[in-house]
Amino acid sequence: MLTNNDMITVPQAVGLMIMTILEIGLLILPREVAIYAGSDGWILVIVGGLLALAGSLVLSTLIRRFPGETFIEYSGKVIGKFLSFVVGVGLVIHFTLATSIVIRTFTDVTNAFMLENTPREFIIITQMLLTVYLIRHGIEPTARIAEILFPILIVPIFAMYLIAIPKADFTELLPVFNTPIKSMAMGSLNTMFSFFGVEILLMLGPYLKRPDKIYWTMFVSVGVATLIYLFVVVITFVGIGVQNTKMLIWPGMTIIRMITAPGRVFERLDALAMALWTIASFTTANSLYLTGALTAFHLTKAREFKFFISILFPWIYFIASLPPNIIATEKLVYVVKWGSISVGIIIPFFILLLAVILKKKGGTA
Amino acid sequence: MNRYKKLLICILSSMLLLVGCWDMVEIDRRLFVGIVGIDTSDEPNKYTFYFSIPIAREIIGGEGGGGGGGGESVGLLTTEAYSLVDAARNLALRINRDIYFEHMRIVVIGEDMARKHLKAILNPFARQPEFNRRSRIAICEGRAEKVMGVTPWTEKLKAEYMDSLYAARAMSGKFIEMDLGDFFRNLNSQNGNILVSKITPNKTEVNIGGAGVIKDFKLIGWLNEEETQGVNFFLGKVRGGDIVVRDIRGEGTETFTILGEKTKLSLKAAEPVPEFLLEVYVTGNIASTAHYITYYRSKLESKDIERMEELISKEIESQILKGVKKLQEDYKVDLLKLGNFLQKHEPALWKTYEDNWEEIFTQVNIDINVSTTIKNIGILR
Repeated sequence: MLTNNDMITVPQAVGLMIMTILEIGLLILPREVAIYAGSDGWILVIVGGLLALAGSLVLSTLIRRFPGETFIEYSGKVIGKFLSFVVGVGLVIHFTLATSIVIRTFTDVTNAFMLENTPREFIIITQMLLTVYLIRHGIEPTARIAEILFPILIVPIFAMYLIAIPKADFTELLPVFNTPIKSMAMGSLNTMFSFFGVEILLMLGPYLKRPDKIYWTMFVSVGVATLIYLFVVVITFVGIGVQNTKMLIWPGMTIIRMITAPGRVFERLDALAMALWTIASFTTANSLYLTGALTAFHLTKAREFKFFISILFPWIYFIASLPPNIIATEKLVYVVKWGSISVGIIIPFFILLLAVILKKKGGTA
Repeated sequence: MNRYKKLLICILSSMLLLVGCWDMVEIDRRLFVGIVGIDTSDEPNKYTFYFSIPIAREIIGGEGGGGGGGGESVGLLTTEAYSLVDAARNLALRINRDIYFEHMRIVVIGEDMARKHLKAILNPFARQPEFNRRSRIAICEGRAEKVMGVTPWTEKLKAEYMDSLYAARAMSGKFIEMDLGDFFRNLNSQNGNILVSKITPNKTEVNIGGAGVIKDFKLIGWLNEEETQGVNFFLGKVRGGDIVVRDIRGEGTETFTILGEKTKLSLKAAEPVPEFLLEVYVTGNIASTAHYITYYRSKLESKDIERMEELISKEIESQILKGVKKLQEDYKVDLLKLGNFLQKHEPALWKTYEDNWEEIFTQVNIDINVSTTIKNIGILR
């Protein structure tokens, strides 16, 4: 029944994509859009989501064009072996960094809200060991876990944030369209960064059972992720105010601590919120780590990809424990976001462009 | 192979039992702070902190029926420190348990403190997640020490007593209902100006009526109970309480209990100073009149009801005007959220006023239009 043939079905791919996209943004996106556009922030989420959709359109077109081939293989055909190797190395570095900051942000939040005295390194190591244990079994179990955890994450998130509604002040969303176009554009770009994780699609190509359904897969995943982000941003704005959101490091978490259900039935949802946050960051770390190892595996054409998990381990640990404080982590997050745009979207876009111009096409596998 | 499997199963199942928590503190090693009080101190840069802590042992003993022999159910710790966190750490030298703020019910800030150093003292409450954001915040007339010394006769725990006072929103509109989270939120959106609850202690009880006016992170004065209710009416926050007006037939008074309120603020004219129109819709019941209770002497006609509604509307309007006047003329601070209203609904206009709003606010015209609906008159005509 449980097959492990390293092929993922369409629902698994959707689950994997959504769970990869949903992570740090859940907690920090409200602040970022508030700083860029104030009460117009929620518009940025929609525009950013559309941009991310456009980005993933590029990736899926590539997959449709070269079915069954890895990114390294077809980019080698289009831009030459050497350049594709360089891009591949860039991707490995990007995925390593991305895994590190996901794990590091998880650690920071856990330290701030739950385990104040637990050493940071200890949390990093335990989280990483769990991830390694899972992804050593390959892509199919990883996707299956994402598929299973998806409803466990989404349903409570909606239920939990809805409790904030009775105290909400919806005039916080006014005025609408009052931000200069320039900061709207910058903000949308920045919001698109929060969708980092879509670039795992690059590596997923050859493992999809139905590459012909890739457009549908990606449309649903980015769409659902946008809706969830939009929901969280709106609730945070109306729940704790736009100005207040700008000051808080993790507004998505702070709002939980201010929620009281009518009649004080549910008062302290911190533990639930932490559990959900653990799920969100665990699944993201899984897929980013796995994708990093897969990239290295494709790059070297080695026989086993598990070997690369061990190679990446110390690097991820090292980078995750590198930033001295949260503000430094934020800077690293920024680097990863730019990396996501450049190696994840812009370079594939040029490869696609070249492939179209040079009329390169994959076999009809 | 089989042996290794068995060994593995043993090791794995033992892991289920050997779990632990790094940050574990047993509940009996903790002290739960109920009330935090803050006062100024004679030493420079230092403040006096009070922590009121329920003593679990005594509470349980008391419920057992007279046991315990009159032990205090609440302990009070006092220390002088540079900040709240510093104060909690100072106590580590004297108290063998961990001080724990997650169940903090109310923060009481002394008047002197609020007038001078409010900014300095608020920071840790916002920065550290361990402070309960659902706790109340109040400014005390005089020193906070007096509030800490109150021994209520209704409840064993002071914190519980004071916290549940604030649940009386359905009974009165004469206080400010706000928790720490809302406090920070409003402080942010109104740029350091806010109305905060006032607390007045006496020996066995406290009074939470009235409000403190904070302008730019400093307490600058008080609103009395009526003015507070007026401002609450203005902001559409009144959910209960009563209005007493003169009886329609000239002698005695009538009591009108409020059920709810809706407000609608709109801008009438913009130049040179903005003019606002506030429409207030109040619903409620007539609870008592000064009429005779026999049919032939006096009964209520529908025109009486209309006159009553008029009288009540007038009274509400005058209360609102009192609050507005005090804020406009005496304190010169926009706590009516008019600036926020302009910012949200007329962003272009707000840009022209933004820089000297403080001055403009004092000249703003507000037309108030109250309409009252009496829903019920009880079971007597």
